Amino acid sequence: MKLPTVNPHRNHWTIHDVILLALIAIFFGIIYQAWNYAYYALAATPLKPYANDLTLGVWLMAGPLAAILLKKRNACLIGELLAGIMEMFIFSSWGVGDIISGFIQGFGSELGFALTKYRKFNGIGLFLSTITSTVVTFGWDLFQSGYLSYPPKMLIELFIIRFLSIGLFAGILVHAIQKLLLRTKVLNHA
Amino acid sequence: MRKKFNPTIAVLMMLAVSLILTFATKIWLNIFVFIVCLLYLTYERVNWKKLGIALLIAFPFALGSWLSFMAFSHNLHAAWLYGTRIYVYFVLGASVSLLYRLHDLLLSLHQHFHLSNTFVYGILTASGMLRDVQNQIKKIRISANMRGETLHWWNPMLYLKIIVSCLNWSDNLSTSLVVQGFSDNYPRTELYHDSISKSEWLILASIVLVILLLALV
Repeated sequence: MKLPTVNPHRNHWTIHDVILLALIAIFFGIIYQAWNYAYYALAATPLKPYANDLTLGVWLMAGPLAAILLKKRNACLIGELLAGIMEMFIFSSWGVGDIISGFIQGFGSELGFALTKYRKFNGIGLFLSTITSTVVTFGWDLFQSGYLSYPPKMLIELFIIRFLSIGLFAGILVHAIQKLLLRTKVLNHA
Repeated sequence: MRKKFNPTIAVLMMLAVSLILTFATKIWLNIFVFIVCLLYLTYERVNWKKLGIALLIAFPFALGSWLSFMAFSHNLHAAWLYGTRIYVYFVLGASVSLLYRLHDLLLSLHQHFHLSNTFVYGILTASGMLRDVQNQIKKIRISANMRGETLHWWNPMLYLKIIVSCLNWSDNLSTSLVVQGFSDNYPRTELYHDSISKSEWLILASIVLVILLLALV
């Protein structure tokens, strides 16, 4: 059986691309909800910021995965934002926070691919994307989530934990998925 | 259901108020918006059981925020500010997600902000597949179990199988849309129409202005 492949045209969005992106967003909306339960165990303790940064990588997977699938400008941003919107509509306790976080996380991940001028949707693009998303989301949390109130030593620890989490899930795991997609010829090239 | 705000107005209000509150540092403002939203949701007769459960589920998140600021920074103001923010974000989101269908929101945003039809109908088509995606995840995991494998959330094979399913669905759905006469970037007959009255724009501007002023003073 011939497996379906993605649209190779990088410049325009077809209805097929949008449906695929939205389906991936729904899939991640469901995963994010399930992941909430894992987060839940630590969230009600003073260790919440550590729980937040340790689990954050999973919430950043939708964008880079959309980017490596569609290889389009803004696919990462739209993919992450849509996953946030879907999570809110499936009904999560974060409410509008899902949309705001989805936008910031998508923007952060998108920057990494933008730095390669949208030419590298491979390991290099993903690596840059994990760096930019760590910096952008951490910068946002310094002000929006009150991280500035924490002592500097704790901030360094949180930054490292966040980078490891994003690197593991939105970097290494997405790269492993990309390799499988290439091996099965769903993607023709990285 | 009683007469609600126009969907576009509701989305703009939710985003504008939440953005102001993101940068505001007043605890009482969070509580004020939270109470107003709850009253509004009650007036619109939302399902209180669903809302109540979600409010309870959000409690550990709010408590965790409060405890972490008390433990690591001894900052009582930050503890209450970020603890209450969780709840205000939740009710702002619920004011849209519980009162409007995604269908109406997308078509309204298309009408008033020219959101492209490709995106509107693409997202709408996919949103109808929510139950199928949920069932597919279950099927994939169960069929792996039957072969003696466990597909955890961190296993790339689970994502591969889901992506292949999504690609198959998007192929079928886009073909069926095209067969029904849908063309990318072409004008189409618009059956959905809603209008935003001047009073609604005025209410939006007034509410945003009042919240902004309250945040600044």
